[in-house]
Amino acid sequence: MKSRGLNSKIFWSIILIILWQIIYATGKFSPLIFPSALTILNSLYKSIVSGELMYQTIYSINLIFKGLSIGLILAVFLSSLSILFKPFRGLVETLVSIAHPLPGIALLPLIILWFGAGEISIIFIIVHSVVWPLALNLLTGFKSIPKIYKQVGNNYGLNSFNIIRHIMIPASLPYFLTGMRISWARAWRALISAEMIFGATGGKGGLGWFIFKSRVFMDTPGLFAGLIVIVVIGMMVEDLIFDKLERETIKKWGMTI
Amino acid sequence: MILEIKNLTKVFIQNGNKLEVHRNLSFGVNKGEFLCILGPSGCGKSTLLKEIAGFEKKDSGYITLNGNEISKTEINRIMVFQDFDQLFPWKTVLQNVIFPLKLNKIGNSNFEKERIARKYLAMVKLEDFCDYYPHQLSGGMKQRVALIRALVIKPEILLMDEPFGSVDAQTRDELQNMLLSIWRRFNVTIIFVTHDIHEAILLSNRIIVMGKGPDNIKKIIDNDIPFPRKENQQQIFNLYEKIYQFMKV
Repeated sequence: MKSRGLNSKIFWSIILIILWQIIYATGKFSPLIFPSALTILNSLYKSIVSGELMYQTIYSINLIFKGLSIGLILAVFLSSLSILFKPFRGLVETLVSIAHPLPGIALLPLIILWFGAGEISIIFIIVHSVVWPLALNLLTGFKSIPKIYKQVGNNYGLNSFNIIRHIMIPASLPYFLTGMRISWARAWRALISAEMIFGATGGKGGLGWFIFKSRVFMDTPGLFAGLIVIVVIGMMVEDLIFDKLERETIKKWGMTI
Repeated sequence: MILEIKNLTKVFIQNGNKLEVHRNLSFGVNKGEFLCILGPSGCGKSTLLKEIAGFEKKDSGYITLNGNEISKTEINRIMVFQDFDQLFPWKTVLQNVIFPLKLNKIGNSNFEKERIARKYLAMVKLEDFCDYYPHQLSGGMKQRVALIRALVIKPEILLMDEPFGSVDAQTRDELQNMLLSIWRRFNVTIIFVTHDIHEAILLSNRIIVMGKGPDNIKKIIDNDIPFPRKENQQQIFNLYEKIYQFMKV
């Protein structure tokens, strides 16, 4: 089932590349705006070999990893607190309903005003993109845990802290994974957009900057090469990380929502 | 007497209305006995069991275990629910049974804990299903695991809330027999809630017949029909008829 999905994706990607190439071959569009697929792949290869693309990719991934980690810790902290202390729940729910609908990128001008245009600002936007959807999903997950799990836990001698650790966290895992999926997608978009706006500081600008710079220099194949990397990373995270995590946990446990 | 219930009163407040579940309920439970609490749905039998377990707070009266008043859930009284979802789906059968051992530091090593858990699972013929996850089991198997998970830490009282209420008749027969053999083997005290007269007669030493309304113990009946009890015994028919009359009024 799994490998068939992958095969089908590869098959259709090849069909799309061939279609692309046919459109290119008609000569209706200037190569400056619609380059040959081969030129794009060649440019991708060159940027990888030269290290430039790798360097920017690693920079971006490093940022998103930092942002995701901080966001994850904050979300778990906020949602645990609001479970442990009832009055706190109102505050967290209010914060979520204020901040959740705000796209990270809409906050950019404010964040530049507060923190300047640097790594901190990008991480701030990523954390913002991660923490609210994740906290929201964790809270929903915690609320949807069948009462019976907690009763069983209490009966066998678990205290409040251990109820969270042994029962609430595994029992809300389906919601956690959904939250992580949404958070990741949001963070990744926010990161690329922020990088485009911020530009490079000391040669480091990330994938967003790589794409933006390629356009400035009219390096259209380079621009597409950057887009391909974004797509490939997105697919890899989805298929290799999230799908695998689901298969090894909630699917194996029969807990999918 | 291991458990004593005295003048127990419980009131639910629903939409501003007071609903008395029971008023001044009193009875005792002997050590090692199999007590069935029998009554129609809505008579408060499950609430009573939850108060004994410590899940529900009583409004007045006493519940004492070995002379000590009960205030919260403890491992000396373990509840087995009707709900198949009482097992943790993220743990295998074996892990579900090891869980209470770990929490209460029974068994010196992990190896020892596993050995205990496997030994207990074999008592309900689940030794070949140790590595299954609950969602892969039938309802009857899940209830067997739940029973074993409760027994493995040797509670003084096993509280059972219609544990076989959601399984088919054949499986129920099998589960009842397993429960009886376990009860004899461990000499554990069992309080078993059911609405099924037949089930109460087949399993118990004593039956508390409850009815609707707050003053609701209708009758406490000794059941000394010798084991093994067969569905078609005359004594069972007689007792059935007797209980049926009490439940009707």
